[in-house]
Amino acid sequence: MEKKTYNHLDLDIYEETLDNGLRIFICPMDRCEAFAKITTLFGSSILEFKPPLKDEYVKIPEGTAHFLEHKMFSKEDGLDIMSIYQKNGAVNNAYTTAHVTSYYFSAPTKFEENLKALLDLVTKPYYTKENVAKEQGIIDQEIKASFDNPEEKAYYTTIFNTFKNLPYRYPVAGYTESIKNITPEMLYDAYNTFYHPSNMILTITGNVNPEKTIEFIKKYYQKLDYKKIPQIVTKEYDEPKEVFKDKEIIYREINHKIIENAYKVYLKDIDLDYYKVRQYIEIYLLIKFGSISKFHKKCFEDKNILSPVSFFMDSVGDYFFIDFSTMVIEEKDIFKQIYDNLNDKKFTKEDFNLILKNALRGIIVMSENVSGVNNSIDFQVREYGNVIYDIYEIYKSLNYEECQKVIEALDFTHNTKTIVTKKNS
Amino acid sequence: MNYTKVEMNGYNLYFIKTKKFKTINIAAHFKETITNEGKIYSDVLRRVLSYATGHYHNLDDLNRAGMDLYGPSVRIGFLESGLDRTFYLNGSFVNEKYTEKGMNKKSIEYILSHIWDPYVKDNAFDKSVFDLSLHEYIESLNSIKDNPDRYAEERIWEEIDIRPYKDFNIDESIKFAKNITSEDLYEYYLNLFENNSLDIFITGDTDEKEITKIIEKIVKGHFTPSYKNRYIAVKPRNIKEVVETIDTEQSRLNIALKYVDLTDFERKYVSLVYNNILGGGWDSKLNRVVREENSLCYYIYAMRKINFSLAIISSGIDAKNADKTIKLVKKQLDKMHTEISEEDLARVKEIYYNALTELEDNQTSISNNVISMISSDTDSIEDRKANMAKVTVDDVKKLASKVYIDTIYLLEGKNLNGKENV
Repeated sequence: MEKKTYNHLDLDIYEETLDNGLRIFICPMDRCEAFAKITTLFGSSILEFKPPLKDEYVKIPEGTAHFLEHKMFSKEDGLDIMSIYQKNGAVNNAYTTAHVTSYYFSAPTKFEENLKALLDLVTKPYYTKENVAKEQGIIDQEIKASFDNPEEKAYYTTIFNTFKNLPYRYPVAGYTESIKNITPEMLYDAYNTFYHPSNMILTITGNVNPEKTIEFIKKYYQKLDYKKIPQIVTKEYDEPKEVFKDKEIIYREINHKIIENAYKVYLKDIDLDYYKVRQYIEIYLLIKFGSISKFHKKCFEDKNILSPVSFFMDSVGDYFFIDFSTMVIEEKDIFKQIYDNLNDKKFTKEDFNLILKNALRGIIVMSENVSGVNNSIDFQVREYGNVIYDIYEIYKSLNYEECQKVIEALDFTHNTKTIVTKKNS
Repeated sequence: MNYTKVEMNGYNLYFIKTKKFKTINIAAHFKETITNEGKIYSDVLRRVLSYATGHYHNLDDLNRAGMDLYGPSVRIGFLESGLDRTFYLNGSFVNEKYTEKGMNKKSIEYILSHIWDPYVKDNAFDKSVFDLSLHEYIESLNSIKDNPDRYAEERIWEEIDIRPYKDFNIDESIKFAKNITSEDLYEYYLNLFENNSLDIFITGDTDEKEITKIIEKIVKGHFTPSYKNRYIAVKPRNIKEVVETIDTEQSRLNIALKYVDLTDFERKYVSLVYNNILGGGWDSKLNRVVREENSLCYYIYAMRKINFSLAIISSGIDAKNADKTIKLVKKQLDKMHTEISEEDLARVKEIYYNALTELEDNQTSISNNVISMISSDTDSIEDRKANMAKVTVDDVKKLASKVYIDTIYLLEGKNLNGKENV
């Protein structure tokens, strides 16, 4: 076990990698609750892979990773993980994204019992025809609720139209039709491939004793005797720089128009540390679209625009997906305004420094919250390969001139537009 | 949780001292009796005060000034609880120990300026800021119907109709809002300092004397004496059934329950246990039966609104399953009279105790806990633990006979069986 320090943030982190490959990060904090999260690097974006010891690719329907997340709570012999958490008064949940599936709990007491339940949750699969069929009705309702929401409908249409080949384009939960094709065999194939400890990260923060906890986890896995598996092979896709479809209009009985405008930004040409590139793009977007931008002021004063234009970004293979959304009375030239502002590429040093100052505040606030620290470690390990211990120094070292160069080198032209609107309006 | 109270000129200042956090929270709470009009005024006012101050005449300048102070967060809003409405200003900033000396004073001044230094001309709020805020408010009402969950929630409150007056519906609220002037709103704003009580709460590692001095200089007004929130007592009536249709895939089912003639102990503790066993979490009766045994929904839960003597059950289902779901819900309500186990009770108590313990981990929770003790009749943490320990299975079964279905509201979707999704 190696002890490391989050510089300037008064936080120590204990790192350990077990023989079976599981990476563990423990950060003790002066709090009552302990928060533990285990993440597998398997999200909805993986739809073809080679299971261990098989030569052929297995194809799975859209929504399988999310379906598997639901089914991990079904156990043989009446073991009911949710009831254990409820009995212990713990808060627990799970979620699936395009990139990962995570399971977590938090509670101030019965830490080892709760941790054992978390490990049981991801190490004891049990899928049958009956329990798979039962879950289809539940997830179908989850999908329907999501598509009924015009904002979510606009979002999922937009990612579908941004990418041509990458499975990132499909909704995390899949479709009513696709989940009907999921079988117990497919779930076992996915489980045996992606839920091996070597493909997982366990992060624990808060009221926790690192030495005792590592011993507990080692003992737990000793009984399970995981065999090494070959490196996981997932299908690779050629993804063009252009978007799949330029524009789509969806008709709904709504009073306002929902606007979604996503940009597909190719990153491979940038010769700089990926972490820094990500921060520079985020800073640039905050300068151009955030609360101090001229664009924000203009939108705020425009009665046609009913909510500030917000943005979301995510890394997808060799690309950044940058998605702008808002609600308007009339479409007018909102897409052109976003395009022009994004491609203007001019910004002042004063604005750059102002955004940086606030980013430092964000890091400090994150460091006092048990779940905030946990999420931050988990995200950094899966996104960058390790914890960014010198995050504070890196932020301080970010500079205006380098940011200008990065932004200048990026191509913000490939985009897709989605409008949800009433017919004949 | 310990706090100290400083009696100021007509209002109270509370210091909640903790050294566990790197930030400082400040909350100012004005309280008055609820009215239809007050709700609309409050919603427009919170926007006007958030978008400009006497010193910074537009949002851009205001935001820039905030960022220069390491971005203190400022949130202005209001909450209705029983017969009372609290108009609040909540702010948070990084303690100057982690930024620069002098930042605590500047941050408090910045946060409080949103309320105590508004952008006013000739006894009215600045016309352009007012127009934008009013427009934004009216359009937010217009957009409620675009979101089926929000619309269903709004509609069931209209149908329950438990306030001392008839609630405005969406159209009535819009009609009223359209006639508000900037002068009217400014008059309502002045009312905050004449006919409201005021309590201010500071949480964090602070110097009480220094902060008292800063606040004393800024906060002016002739406030009414502070008082505890008053809950609304309700009476049972024949079940009201309402069905509306909407152009969506899924249907939303909301069922309102009334808690009638509860004792104080039942209101604070037994109803909480009752609600959790019925519809709070995985092991609740509703989740076990409607979701897990019958696969009818993705979510079903009961939300307790005890100051309104209510709980609202919510679920998303297929329209064709509405009757079946309602039957199952009624059956679980019947079971609450007889089928409550010691395990059910122990589970809810454990969740409750843990939640109280975890309050200390979050500065906002610490602050909210003290606010709740001062503003409502919430007991101390120790008393809450002791009282919860006294709740028995029989108490919960007995309470079941005081729970009545009031309204069943179904927002019926088209049930396309997923065809539109593909």
